[in-house]
Amino acid sequence: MEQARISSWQFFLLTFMYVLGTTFFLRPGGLIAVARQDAWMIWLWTGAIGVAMAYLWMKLAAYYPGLSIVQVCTKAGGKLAGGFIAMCYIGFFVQLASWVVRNLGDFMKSTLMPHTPITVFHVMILAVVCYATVKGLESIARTNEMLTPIILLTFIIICFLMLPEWNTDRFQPAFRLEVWKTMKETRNVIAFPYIESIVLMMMFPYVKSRQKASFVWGMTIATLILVAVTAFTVGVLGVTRASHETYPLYVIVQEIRIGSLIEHLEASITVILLVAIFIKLSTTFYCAVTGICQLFQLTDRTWVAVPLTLIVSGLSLSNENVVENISWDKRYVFEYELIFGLFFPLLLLVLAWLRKRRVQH
Amino acid sequence: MTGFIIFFMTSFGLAIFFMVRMKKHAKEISIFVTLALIGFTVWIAIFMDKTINPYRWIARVIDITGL
Repeated sequence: MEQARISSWQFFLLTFMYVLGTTFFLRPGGLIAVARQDAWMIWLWTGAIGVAMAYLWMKLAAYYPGLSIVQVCTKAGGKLAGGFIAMCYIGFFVQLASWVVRNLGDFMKSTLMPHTPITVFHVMILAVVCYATVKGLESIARTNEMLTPIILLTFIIICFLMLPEWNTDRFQPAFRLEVWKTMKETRNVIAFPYIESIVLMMMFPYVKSRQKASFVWGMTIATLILVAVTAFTVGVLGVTRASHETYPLYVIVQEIRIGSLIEHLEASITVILLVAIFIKLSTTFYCAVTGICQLFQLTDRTWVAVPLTLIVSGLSLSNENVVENISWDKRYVFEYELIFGLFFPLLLLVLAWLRKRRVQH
Repeated sequence: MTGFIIFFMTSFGLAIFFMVRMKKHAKEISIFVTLALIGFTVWIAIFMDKTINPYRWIARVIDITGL
């Protein structure tokens, strides 16, 4: 097993970037289409459910300190049933990685490079991610530590440049949400990005101290940033335009114009997205590779990471187009990810509790 | 597809050669072979226009169970 150690600050940043990752780019448009000018509020309740789920996962981790979710599965559920659940989790991580890769491909193809085959983007990012995974968790954490301030700074600059376009009237009429209907329609937001964060449970054993605080604060701060991004999108673009765009933030940056000198800054936001995707994908891919290594007790990650890039790049072509992606996300993603975020952890918690009681008696 | 098969066979053979030479454990080699062959199957399915789509399988299961 890897002997890496990361600080609580590095884990906080990893959690923060994992939740923020592709979310700040992909989610606002869909949310504004459903909840209109009140879309920013959706993050508050979905974030609260996400944090509540994080507490459930941490309760499970507390039963088996120093073990990752895959190790917890085999420890609590035994070799056969636990091994099956661990395999399901690894499959989930691989599928998540392919989903993130596809998000990158769709974005690059539909905005910047429409003539380049989508596989080129997939293979190129996977080559870098595979290298990062082989180098280990400490390298990923340090890269994230270095890149996060750049992302945030660029984002803040963009916000300042677009402030003249801000119009508070675009939030009127406010608080006209049909609560239950909106909650049902936006349940997929709980899955992506919050339930997906269960991936980070693979890193718990490597964090030196204060895993729980770092994890919860990472999720909370990312949620607040997402509230700000959604409010900013509504305030600058307005409900009608924002809800009709797949990547509203990209459109905002495209429209930045300061005199005739500074305009078309979309490349800068593309770099931000690439970095965010790299962090999210590295984390997910690393967790999938580590999961396989832990389940089969392997020591060298290289020989798992290399063939896994082949599987992930192939699976990322499963969906025909971005429309199929969106419709799957709307209808199935919550129900699917609930199995990994709620059902399996609850089952493992009950099993752990029963084992503990048996030992005590 | 022919190019991909040649590329895969060459890199697969080289990888196995290096793993044996580095005296890797049999379990490690077998996991590598399994993963590489799964990846190969996924790509061959793509080339033959019969894409393996786990999303569709998951969706079907969710529809059947009525979740």
